[in-house]
Amino acid sequence: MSAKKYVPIGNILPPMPCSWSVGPYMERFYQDLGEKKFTGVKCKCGRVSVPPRKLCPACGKVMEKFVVVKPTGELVNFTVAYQNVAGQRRKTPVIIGLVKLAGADTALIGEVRGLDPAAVKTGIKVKAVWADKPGNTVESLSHFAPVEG
Amino acid sequence: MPQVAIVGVGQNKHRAKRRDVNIPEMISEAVENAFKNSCLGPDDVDAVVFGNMHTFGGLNQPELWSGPMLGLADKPMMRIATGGTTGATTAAAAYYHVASGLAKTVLAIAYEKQSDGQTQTALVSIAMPEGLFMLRHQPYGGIEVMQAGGSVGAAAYQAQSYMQHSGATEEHLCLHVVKNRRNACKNPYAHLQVPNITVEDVMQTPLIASPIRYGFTCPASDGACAMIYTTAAKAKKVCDQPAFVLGLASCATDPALNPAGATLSDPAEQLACKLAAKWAYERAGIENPAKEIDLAEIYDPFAHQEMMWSERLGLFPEGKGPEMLKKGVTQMDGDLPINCSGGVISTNAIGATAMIRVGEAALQIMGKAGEHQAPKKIKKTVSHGWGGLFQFVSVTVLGSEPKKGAGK
Repeated sequence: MSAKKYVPIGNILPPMPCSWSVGPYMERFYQDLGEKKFTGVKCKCGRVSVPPRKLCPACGKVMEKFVVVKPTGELVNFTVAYQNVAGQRRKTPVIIGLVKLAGADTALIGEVRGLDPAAVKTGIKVKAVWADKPGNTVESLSHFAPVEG
Repeated sequence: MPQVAIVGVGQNKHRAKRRDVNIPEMISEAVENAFKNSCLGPDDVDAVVFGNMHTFGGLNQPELWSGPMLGLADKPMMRIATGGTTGATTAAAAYYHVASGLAKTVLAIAYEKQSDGQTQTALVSIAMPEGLFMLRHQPYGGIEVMQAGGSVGAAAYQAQSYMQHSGATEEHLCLHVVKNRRNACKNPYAHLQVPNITVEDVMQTPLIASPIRYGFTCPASDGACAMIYTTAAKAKKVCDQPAFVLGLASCATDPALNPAGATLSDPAEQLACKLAAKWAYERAGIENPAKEIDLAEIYDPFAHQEMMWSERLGLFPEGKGPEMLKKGVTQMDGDLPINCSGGVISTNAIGATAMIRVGEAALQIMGKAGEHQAPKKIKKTVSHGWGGLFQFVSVTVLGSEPKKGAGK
């Protein structure tokens, strides 16, 4: 007996385009990114969150004071990607780092260029390198690069 | 088992689009209101229960925001998603936390932000695999009918059956819409507020899938609801008049509808509602709901449903819903007010909707409903949530006094 074991289902559902509202805090972040600035928000408890958000992750209070932090910081964590999302080997491995900007209590994710993947380590000082034409999108930040000297 | 009470209810103003804020910012408004309403704060909360619909807003795991992004850092948390009943099940989970004695004070949060995603697509995906298969392959356009208006295509079968068996006419459906959208004008959180709406206004709206007209359907809303549950002992200390949870139950039966269309059973029969109501009333010690229930908040996204559910919930005899509506029994100042809030026909932020039914009933008992407070003294209420494939119902009974003969 040959039973029908599977029913193949192709694209049964209509497309599901989404557009997520950013809200006033992230709107400010994106805007300032276009002016080559990293904006965060400082809580009364002292914690600085970059990107900014309404409620403090540490004490739960509403945060209202926007602050601009420096575009330089320290590599606090990283991975070297040898494969892309599609599962293909990359010709050149890519360093993806978590960068704690000076003055922030949080880290931003970004590509780090200009370092040998075999020699990358935490604690290295890096700076933001901006896109040629920054706008109010995350692409304004091209990558991070080591600070000379 | 500790007795459980509701001491705080918060919502935000529901609108078609809250594009000015992101999801956690929108939810935080309801959470802030619940705390203001209760004299309690985040430090009093032992655990959080968080609910919304699956994939609505285009997101699978919104519980990521349920803690720190809402000012509730480092609390135990669980997420609930049971389709249309999500809000009621989330509220039930908060009740179980407290009733079990494992937590003292629990915050329940439910929301929907439909403008950020594609609700239609998410709705169509709610199906058994067999249902999806049939939708794909049946030649007479099941998926087109469903997509004609989300769940409207499926609700049409239920409306047809209910109207045929009860004798409810289009005029009754219009009267229901008029009653609730006028009630909504007195509820500052309601979405569709139409002060001078008439039967003629509703009647002249176009048909979507007969017998359902555009005017017989709920809006798609963005909004949130938050509620605070605690022990009866603590409730009496922090609140003059808490709303005590007397009994609740959910039931899911075999679907009378699959997404491909009607089956031989009747989608208006609603055995799940009858059973859930029976169990909830038993737990609440209610023998005659028609006499003992003072007010109801019913899940009515379609205009035939408030009449239908009011019968299935045992508030009126079968087939009497239309007559009671026409007589004004269910008006805000009637003998058995239903949906003083404006109901779901006026506001539907889907994941929050079934919780709002419980929250609005609690506000009526607490005497905090404001302009839409029913004039009669409200001692016992029933709240109803509906979802699944037309066969999942949740019923909650609240009271102004704790249950007699039960523990503290």
